[in-house]
Amino acid sequence: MNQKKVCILGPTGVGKTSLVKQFVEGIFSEKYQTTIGVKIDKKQLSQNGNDVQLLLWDLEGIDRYCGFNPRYLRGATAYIVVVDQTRSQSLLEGLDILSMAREHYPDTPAFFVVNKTDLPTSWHWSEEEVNEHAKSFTSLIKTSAKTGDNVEDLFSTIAFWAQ
Amino acid sequence: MTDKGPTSAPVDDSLDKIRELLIGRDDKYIEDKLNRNAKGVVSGVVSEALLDRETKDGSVNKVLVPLVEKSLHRSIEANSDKIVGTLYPLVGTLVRKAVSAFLVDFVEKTNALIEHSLSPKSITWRFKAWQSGVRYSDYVASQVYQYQVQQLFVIHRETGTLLHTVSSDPQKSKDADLISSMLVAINDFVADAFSPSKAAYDNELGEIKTDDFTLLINLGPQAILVAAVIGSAPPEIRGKFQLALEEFHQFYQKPLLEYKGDNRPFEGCGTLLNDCLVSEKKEAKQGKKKRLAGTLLVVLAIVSLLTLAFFRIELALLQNNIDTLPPEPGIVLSRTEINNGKIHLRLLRDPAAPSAREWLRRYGVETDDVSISESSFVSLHNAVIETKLLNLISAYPSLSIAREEANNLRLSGSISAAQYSLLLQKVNAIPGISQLNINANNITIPPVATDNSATLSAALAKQIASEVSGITLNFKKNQNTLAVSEMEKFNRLTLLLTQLQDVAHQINLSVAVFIMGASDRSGTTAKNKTLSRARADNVKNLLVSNGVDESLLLPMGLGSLPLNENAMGRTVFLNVLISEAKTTEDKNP
Repeated sequence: MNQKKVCILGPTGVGKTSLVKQFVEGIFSEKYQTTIGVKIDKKQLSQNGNDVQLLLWDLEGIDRYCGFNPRYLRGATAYIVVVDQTRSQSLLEGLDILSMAREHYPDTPAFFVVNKTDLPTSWHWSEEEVNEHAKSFTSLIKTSAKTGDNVEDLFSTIAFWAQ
Repeated sequence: MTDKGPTSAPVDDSLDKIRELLIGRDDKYIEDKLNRNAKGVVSGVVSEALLDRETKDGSVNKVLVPLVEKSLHRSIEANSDKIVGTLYPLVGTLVRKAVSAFLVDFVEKTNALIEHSLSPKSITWRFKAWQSGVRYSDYVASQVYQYQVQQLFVIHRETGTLLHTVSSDPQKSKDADLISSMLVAINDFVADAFSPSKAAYDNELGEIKTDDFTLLINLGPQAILVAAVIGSAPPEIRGKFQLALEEFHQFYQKPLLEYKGDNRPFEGCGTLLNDCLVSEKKEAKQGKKKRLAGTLLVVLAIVSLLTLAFFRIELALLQNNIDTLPPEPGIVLSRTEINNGKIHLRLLRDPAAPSAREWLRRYGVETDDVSISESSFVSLHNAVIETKLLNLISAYPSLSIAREEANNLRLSGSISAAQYSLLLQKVNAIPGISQLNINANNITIPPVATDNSATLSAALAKQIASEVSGITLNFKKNQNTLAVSEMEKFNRLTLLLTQLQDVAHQINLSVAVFIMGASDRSGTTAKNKTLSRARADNVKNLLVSNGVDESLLLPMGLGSLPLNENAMGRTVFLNVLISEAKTTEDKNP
């Protein structure tokens, strides 16, 4: 069986752990718990008759004051940068994270995830600006960890891409 | 000039041509020749080469086992009918062997189960496992094994994904995928956290240790070998793991370099890893020693118990022996008991009776293990009274004693009047003497001067009177009858008064004995008077009934006595008045 390592990056509180929890366990909790270090989960998917096991490395939230440990990305098939569409700053931070990651692993596919689509968009970025920024990434997917909207698709896309 | 240039070139060229002719372009002839004979060359040495290599490092087996397994699998899938046909004759034997193997295994497991489930040790282990919050099976493993490699993980170093895992007990194997990733993450964290400036490789984890569990981490260029070990692993085991990791890299170099998440190429590495699933049981020697010591202790305990029991039985027999001895006059056995390895006797003994040990020895009883505590008492047994009488008579060499009938004794011999009087006094003092009939008629008293005799008797009467006056009989509160405890004094009193009246009669003396009853101050005066008189009367009546002449006795009630010690008043005391000795003339004027 194929095993693929996927890392999930992003600023604090954008919903990285919730995305993984929704994908792996199908549940969402309103309770907020900060991830410390890294939390690893796995889920098996079937792609065109082939089984793929995704090992999801949910990294702790990254902000401008604390960098992240680039070693965690070593050997990753892909990584996801999650931002929160209710916080304008999260997109800027997400772009910073992308550039930091690219510095060490320029060839690894990076997925851009705009999370919390169940809430009204309240950042000041226009759709065009978001799409413009998304060009730096392999793909842009808008998700809601709460409703599960697009979550399955996100990881299926990554699994497909990883093959 | 023109020859110079081309001359050197053809020389080089010819050498090349010769080489080309001999071995062909790019060693083609040699390769052709070798290829043509390859089969022959290899087939000539293949078996020896395989044997040599297998002997050298055992790698042939490691390569062949997965291949053979795969081939066999394919062969069975493709030609199952043929295989069934081949195996059919063997099936019976195989089944029998399998069943017998199963039975042996089952019996051994059952034995182990009984040993581990019902023994005191297992109960202690269960308690300790519960106390330390680990599963019983894990605790047993930690106790039974010096160390045991429980699970091995081969992890792809870069991605942290699991390449292969083997476990000593597949039921106990943990979620290997997550453990692998987490281990790599922890390793990354440690490397990053503690040495940001140094090269990351310098600071990676080599070991993670808990109280009873150790993860030994061996790092290779592409893969990490992690061993989960319980107990304390010896240092040399690391070398074994390192060797296995090196072999893994050697065999799977290509798949490791081309690894893209597919772990199928590593499925065959189980053979290689199984060699590392080693364990060492704790030496049972100590247990044996303990068991031997335990057996010795038990044997010693049994021997001492038996010895004790033997002594106890011996003592019990002796006790029974003593209990059934015929009764000895003057000795009353009140209690026998066994205590501290000895028989304790409690008895009452008349001083005239033989000693208790003498009595026991007479019946052949060993007295070494017997301790005796005795209290004195007065025996009224005829034999004892006789002994006392004999003892008394023996002081008078001129007297002899003879038995006439069972209780009839006859005294004979010659004795002075004073001695006779004293003897009588002494004989009468023997308690229970009245049970014997003593005939003293054969005692002759040599005549002495009458005056002397009268004087002596008068002196004796005075002596007796003085002794009688000294006697006080005590009564209990508000009681007018004489208590049993006073009977000894009363008997003495009776004897004295009997003697007194005899002596008085002999020498013709007038005697008056005042019996003065008294009481304490409690109660009314009238009642005290009556009570005191009643006491005096009772004493008088008793004396009369014991043979004292009533005319001598003068009872009187004094009432309460004004004494400091009130209880002292509850008495009857006596006083004797004696007239002067009368001469014959006085008697008959």
